[in-house]
Amino acid sequence: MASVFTLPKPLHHLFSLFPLHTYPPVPTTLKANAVTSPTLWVHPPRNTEEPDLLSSDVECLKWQAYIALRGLSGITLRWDISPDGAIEGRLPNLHAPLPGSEDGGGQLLPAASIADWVDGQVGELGPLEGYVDEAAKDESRAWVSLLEGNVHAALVLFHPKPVTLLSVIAPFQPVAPTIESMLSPPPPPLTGLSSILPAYGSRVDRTIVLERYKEAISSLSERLGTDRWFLGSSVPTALDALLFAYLHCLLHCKDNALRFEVTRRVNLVAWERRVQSDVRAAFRHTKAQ
Amino acid sequence: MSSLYIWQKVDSALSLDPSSLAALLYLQLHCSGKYSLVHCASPDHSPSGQLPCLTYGMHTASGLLAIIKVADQLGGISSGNALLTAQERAQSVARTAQVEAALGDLVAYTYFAVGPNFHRATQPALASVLPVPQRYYVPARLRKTHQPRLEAAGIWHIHDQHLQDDRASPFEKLARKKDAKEKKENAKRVFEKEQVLSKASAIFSTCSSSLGNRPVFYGSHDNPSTFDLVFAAHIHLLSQELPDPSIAHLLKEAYPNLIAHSESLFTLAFPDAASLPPLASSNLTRNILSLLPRWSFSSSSRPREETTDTNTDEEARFARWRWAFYGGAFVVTTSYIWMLGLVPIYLQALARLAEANREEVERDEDEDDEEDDDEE
Repeated sequence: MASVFTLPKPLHHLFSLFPLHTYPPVPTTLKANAVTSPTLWVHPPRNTEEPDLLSSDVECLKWQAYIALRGLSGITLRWDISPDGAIEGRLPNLHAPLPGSEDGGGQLLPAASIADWVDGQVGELGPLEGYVDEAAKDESRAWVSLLEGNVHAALVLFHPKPVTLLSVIAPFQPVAPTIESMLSPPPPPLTGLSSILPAYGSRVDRTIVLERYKEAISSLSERLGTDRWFLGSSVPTALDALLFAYLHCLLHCKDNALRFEVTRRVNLVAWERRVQSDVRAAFRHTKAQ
Repeated sequence: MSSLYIWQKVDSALSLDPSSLAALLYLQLHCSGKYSLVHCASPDHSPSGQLPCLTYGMHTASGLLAIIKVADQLGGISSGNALLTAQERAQSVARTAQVEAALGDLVAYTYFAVGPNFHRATQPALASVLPVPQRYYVPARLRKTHQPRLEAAGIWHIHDQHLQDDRASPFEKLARKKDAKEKKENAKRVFEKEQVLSKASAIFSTCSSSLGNRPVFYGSHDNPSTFDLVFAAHIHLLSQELPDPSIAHLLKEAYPNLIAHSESLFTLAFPDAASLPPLASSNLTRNILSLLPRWSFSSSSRPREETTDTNTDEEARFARWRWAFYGGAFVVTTSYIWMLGLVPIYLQALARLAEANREEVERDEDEDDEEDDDEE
C-alpha cells in the first residue's frame, strides 16, 4: 500500500534539505537508588549541620510524631527535596517500598494516606482510636480544632516563613493556607470594606489573635495537668502527635510573646521534652545522594 | 453610657454575625440597661476593623473575649464561667473553638454562599442601611471575604441559577430543563448540598448527644456559661427561615433539643419585646469621607458620640503640661543660643555687610559724578 503513493520528486528534494539526526542518549551520573526502608520527605530541620531529626514545619513534624508514637522505627528522613516535587506541592510525603516489586521504585503517598499505611504496618486502632471512651474521642475533636484554629493562626501570623528572593521569583508558588482562611470572622480588606478603592490585602488585628492564643495555651495546660498522655489516654494518640508538633514549633519560634506563653507552663514544657526523645528515636537520616 | 456596635440584622435574627449575637446575649444577661445598641453594615469604623465592638468612655474593646472582660468589670452579676471547675473551663474553651469553626462555617455558608439566601435576604438587609454608592458593592465584597475560609472547608458552593431563572421566559426554562448538561449540573448541585448536610449533621449529632436533656451544657439554667451563649447564637442563626432553609429543617426535624436550648437562652436574655436595649442610630456611613479607607487609629476614626464632660479635668491637666513643655523647650533653646555668644557676632557681621554695601553704592555715585564732570 505504501508503494502505490510515492512522494513527488521536488518534495523529496525539499525534504532532503532538512535531514533527521538521531542523537545517542545523554549519560547522567544521577541515579535513583532503590528504596529499601520507608522514607519520609520533610522540610529541613532548623539546624542542618548537626541535624536533630525534627522538621521545622508543623505539618511535617505532626506526621513524624504520629509515625513515631504509633510504634514504628527505622524510618529514614530526607529533606533535600523541594516542595515542588511533592504530591500537590505539599510536604510531607512518604516513600514506602512495595513488597512485591522488582525495580525497587516503591510508592509515594501523600500526607493523608500516611495513617492508612501505618495501620497496615502495625494494625488498626479500633473504633475508639486509642482514647478512653466516646466522650474523650468527641472532646479530642474539639482540641484538634482549637489547635488547628487559634494556635495555628497565631503561629502563622507572628512567625511567618521568611521570604527569600528565590521564593519570590520561583515559578511555582507553594500552596500554603493563608491567614484569611483561618480567622473567624474573616478579616476585612486593608483598603477598607466600604471604601471606593478596590479590595487589597487584609487587616488582621494581632491583639485579638494573641488573646485567643493565650486562652488556648492556658486551657491546654489546664487540661494536660500531670497526665502521661493528653485526655488521660493510656496509649499515645493522634492528638498527642499534633500537640507535640505545635509545642515544639512554639518553643523554638523567634517571637517572644508566643514562646513565653508556653515556657511559663511547666507541665507543657516537661511533657514536650519527654515526648521529644520518643519521637527522635524512631528516625535516622540518610546522606544525600 | 457604653455602646455595642454589632452587625446589621437580617429578617428576624438580631444580627448577621454569631459572635456579635453572643456578645449581645452576654451584655444583656450581665449588664442590661447600661449599654445601647448600634447596628452597623460595615466594620471600617471599629479600631480593629472587626465587629462586635464595645465603646465605654474613652476606650474600646473589640472581639468577643475583650468584650466579655469589660462586661465583667462593668456589670455586677458574675459570669456563668465562675461556676465551672478548671477542667470544665478548659473543655469549654476547646468546644467554643470547635463550634466557632464548624458552625461558623455553616452560618457563613447559609448567609453568604447560598445564592437565594444571599440575594433575597442578606443583600437587601445590608443594602437598606448603606448609603447610595456603597450599597452596590459592599455586600458582594463582604461575600468575597468569606470565600477563602469556605473554600478551605470545602463548602464554597454558590448556586446563582435562580438569578437566571427569574429573568428567563417559560420556554427557555423548559428547554433548559431538557438539556443534558443542565441535568449534570443539577446532580452536582444535589450532591454538594448533601455533602453540606452530612457535615452539618455530624457536628449537630455530637453536640446533641453531649447536651442530652439538660437545659445547658455548662453552668446553670439562669447563669449559662460563655460556651452556651456562643452555641445558642450559632443555632439561632442557623434555624432562621430563609429562602433556602435546608439546614433549618434538618435542625428542626432531627435535633429539637438544640433548638430548645437556643430558644430558652434567648427568652432568658429578652423576656419580652420591650427588653431590647435602646437602639442608637449610626450616622457613621452617611458622610462622603467614609468612601476613603481609614488608616488612622486616632479618635476621629472612632464613632463620634455626644460630647461627655466627665474627663475635662484630666484633659485640662494634660493640656497644661503640654503647653508647659512647649514653653520650656522654647526658653531653653533661646537661652542656649544666647549663651553661645554667636548672636552679637552675627549682628556685627550683618552691620558690616550693610555698611560695605552702602560704601559701594556711594563710590559708584561718585564715579558717575566724576564722569559727568569730565564730559562737561
